[in-house]
Amino acid sequence: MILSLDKINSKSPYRLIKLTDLTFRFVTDGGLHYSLGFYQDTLFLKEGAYHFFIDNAEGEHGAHDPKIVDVVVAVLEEFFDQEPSVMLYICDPRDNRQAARNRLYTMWYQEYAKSHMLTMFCDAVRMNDIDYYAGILMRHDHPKHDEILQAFQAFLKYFPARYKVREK
Amino acid sequence: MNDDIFVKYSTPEAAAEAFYKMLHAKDEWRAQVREAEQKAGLSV
Repeated sequence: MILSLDKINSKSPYRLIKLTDLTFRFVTDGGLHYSLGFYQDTLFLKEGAYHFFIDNAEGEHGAHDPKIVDVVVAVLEEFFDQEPSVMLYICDPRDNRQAARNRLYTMWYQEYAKSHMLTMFCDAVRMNDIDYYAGILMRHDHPKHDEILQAFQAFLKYFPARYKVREK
Repeated sequence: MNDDIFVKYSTPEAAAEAFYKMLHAKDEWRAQVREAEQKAGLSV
């Protein structure tokens, strides 16, 4: 899959530059550098699934900036305009802000999903007393829609109680 | 379930390992981003 920078920039309030076929970078009005894009999954589906990530290089939360949501929407529109694909996400738990991220992403993605004929499902997975939030988005007309959704739901329910942190 | 599209796990532990790797996929993506930024001469 290759995403069109021109198409994304025609809709994005910030000008993006391309880092890879699936990853872009932009600078906000507040001077924060963001990277966002997709990373091919090989753990859930053999093909056609991608993890979506957004990362702030400064590691700062910054002031509320609604333009960032508009950038995300422009990138997701280009992604879902391509061949039938599945987007996966897991909220980063490392600073214990995964619940806040999940609320933010759920708000973004639900709004986007409703207006773009997408299915969104997210759930919390509790392992070793930590809640992880994982979600999936795909078009309603994905040819394997029901099968993939059921498999993802089963995947999240299948293992948490059996998971043990490995010794390092 | 369609074996052609899903990665099959023989045990819950194997599925849990897969989820653990998914949690760390962001590190691999970040490494790709840093490499691409360096190639493009970009820095924060």
